[in-house]
Amino acid sequence: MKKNIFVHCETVGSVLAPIAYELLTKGRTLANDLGAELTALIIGSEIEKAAIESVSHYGAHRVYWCDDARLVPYTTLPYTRLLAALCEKEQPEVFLIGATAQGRDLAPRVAARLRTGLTAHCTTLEIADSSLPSEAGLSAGTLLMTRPALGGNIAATIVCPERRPQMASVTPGVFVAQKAKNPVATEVVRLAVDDYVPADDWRVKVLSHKETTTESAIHQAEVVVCGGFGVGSKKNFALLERLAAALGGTVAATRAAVDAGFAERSLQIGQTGLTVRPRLFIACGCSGAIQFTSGMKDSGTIVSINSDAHAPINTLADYVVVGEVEEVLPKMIQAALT
Amino acid sequence: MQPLLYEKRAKKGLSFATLRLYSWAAIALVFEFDRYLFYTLMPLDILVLIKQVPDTRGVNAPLMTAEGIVNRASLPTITNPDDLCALEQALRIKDQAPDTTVRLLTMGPPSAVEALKEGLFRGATSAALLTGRAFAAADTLATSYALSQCIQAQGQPSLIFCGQQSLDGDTAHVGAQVAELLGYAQVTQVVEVESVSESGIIACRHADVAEERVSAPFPCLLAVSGEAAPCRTRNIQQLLRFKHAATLSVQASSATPAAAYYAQRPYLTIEEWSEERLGIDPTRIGLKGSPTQVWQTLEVAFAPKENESFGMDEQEIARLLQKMRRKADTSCPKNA
Repeated sequence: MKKNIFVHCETVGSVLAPIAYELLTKGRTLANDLGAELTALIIGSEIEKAAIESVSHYGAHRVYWCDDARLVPYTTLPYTRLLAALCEKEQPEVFLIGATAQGRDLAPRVAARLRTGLTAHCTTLEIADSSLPSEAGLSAGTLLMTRPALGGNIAATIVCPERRPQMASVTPGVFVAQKAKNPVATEVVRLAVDDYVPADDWRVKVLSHKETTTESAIHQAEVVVCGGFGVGSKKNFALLERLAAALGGTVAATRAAVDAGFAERSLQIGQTGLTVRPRLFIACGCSGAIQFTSGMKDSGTIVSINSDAHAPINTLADYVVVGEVEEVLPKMIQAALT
Repeated sequence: MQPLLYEKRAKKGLSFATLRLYSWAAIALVFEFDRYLFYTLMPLDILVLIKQVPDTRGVNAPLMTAEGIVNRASLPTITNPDDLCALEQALRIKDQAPDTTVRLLTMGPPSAVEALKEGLFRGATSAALLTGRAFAAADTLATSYALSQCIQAQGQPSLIFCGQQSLDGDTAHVGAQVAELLGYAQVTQVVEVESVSESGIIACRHADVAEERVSAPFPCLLAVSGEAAPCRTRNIQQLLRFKHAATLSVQASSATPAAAYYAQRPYLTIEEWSEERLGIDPTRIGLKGSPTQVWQTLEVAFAPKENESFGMDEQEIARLLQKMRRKADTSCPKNA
């Protein structure tokens, strides 16, 4: 039986979430390295046919698709039942799940049911090369899963040498989605939810579900003006909004700024927030804690405005201005508008 | 409709220590009391999982020893912040229904008793420590297995609270995995418990960009996020009451009061659970029971970049904008 890489393709409404395509891209690379096939798992309600077929552009050889009104909004037990049953049937080598709210709720439960290993919030995934001396001792096909730990202060590489599937969750924005050179022929297998999910699995109910904001604006922005604790007040945050508007960008915030009430949590960048890589990142009053920089270090050009000349962020920045945010920003806005 | 044991109090509500209400309507009118308080028919049994963690937020010493092992001694230890938020939600239920028991459980070395005592000082009823060398070096699955076995041995509660994630592991696995191993329903990223009835709970949660209200029947596990209300501070009465709380092994030492003191105060004994006492399968705990292993660790250090400084006057700022725009137009993000 040919080896299999599973990718959980999270759905948003009737389409796939961007994380699905990011993971399919990575899954494709791993499948090529392992000589395996890529399988997409799609669970939701009223998914568009175009969304199902879109995975063929990302190299998925097969889709398992389960569609039922009761599956949306997401609750843990039915999804766990479906994914675990498919894993037991197909015995995949690797299983990738997005580290979204849904994935963080679902992946550990599936791993526990399968009594296998799960590595959370991976930033790097590679197949081990046992010919390399540093990787000798690992059997062929072992996945090296690297993730930040100890609050982001160390990078740990984890392996799951014996149990299968090797499960990994990945934060959105870490990998970049990219279509395959040639679309593949994808076999679509539709599953009936009642064949798998017993009545008791529906016992948790979502009484109300309210969207609060769309985070895609920050992910798509080319210019991000981010405020940290050094911004000092919610009032000063308006300066960042003006600068962002002048530069055609969008605002974001660090966890410290959000906890202090300067900005909404939906704007948070960092390990427990969003990962972005805009062309231009302007950090205003951000000290540069590792948990924050992991979410923006791959930006093109980084500018730091901070009253502390020795702030850690300055080691990351291309351009540094030492000064108070509320003094420097008005001048920048002025210069940007002329 | 199920009678409600507890419902989040209205902003204007006053707090009461006991709830024997014979005429709730009259009292509601007189005292502007919450409208939905009923005397509880069955006391609720709640378990809160807590963990003692290194405080990774205040890193001030090199993290790795010369051998490449993480030097945990360089970091002070605290009770995991998300777990304290979980404890607060449990204590709020206890505020409304004082016969509720809030039991604490942690898995760790003997020093983890400090985290348990912190919870007792804040208002928990009792505490238990799961400890032993066989449990060490466990990944999240092995940890969750050990915890779930201990919970079963102690007597399964209707409701388990735990923190969403810990400062050191950051995985957010243990809550979901304990729920799976016990067969409990789960709700994660809970920011508030809205109400509790005889059959289950209604909780508010944040799911990325959405806010949800979710109902889950007992038995269930709630993983509480760090965004939930912070835990109340230590209570002086609880502090005095539990000052000498200790496990049996520590009670025998000379540093604590005499045995008679503890015999008269059974609530001071922190239950100790070992692998022998649980009769647990050794192949499923500790390093042996961990499907994942750490292959290597590296301290993360960003190579300092050469950067260019600008002054604060208008001319310099204009120069910055110019350079910034030019570079940003040509620079692409890495890993594109």
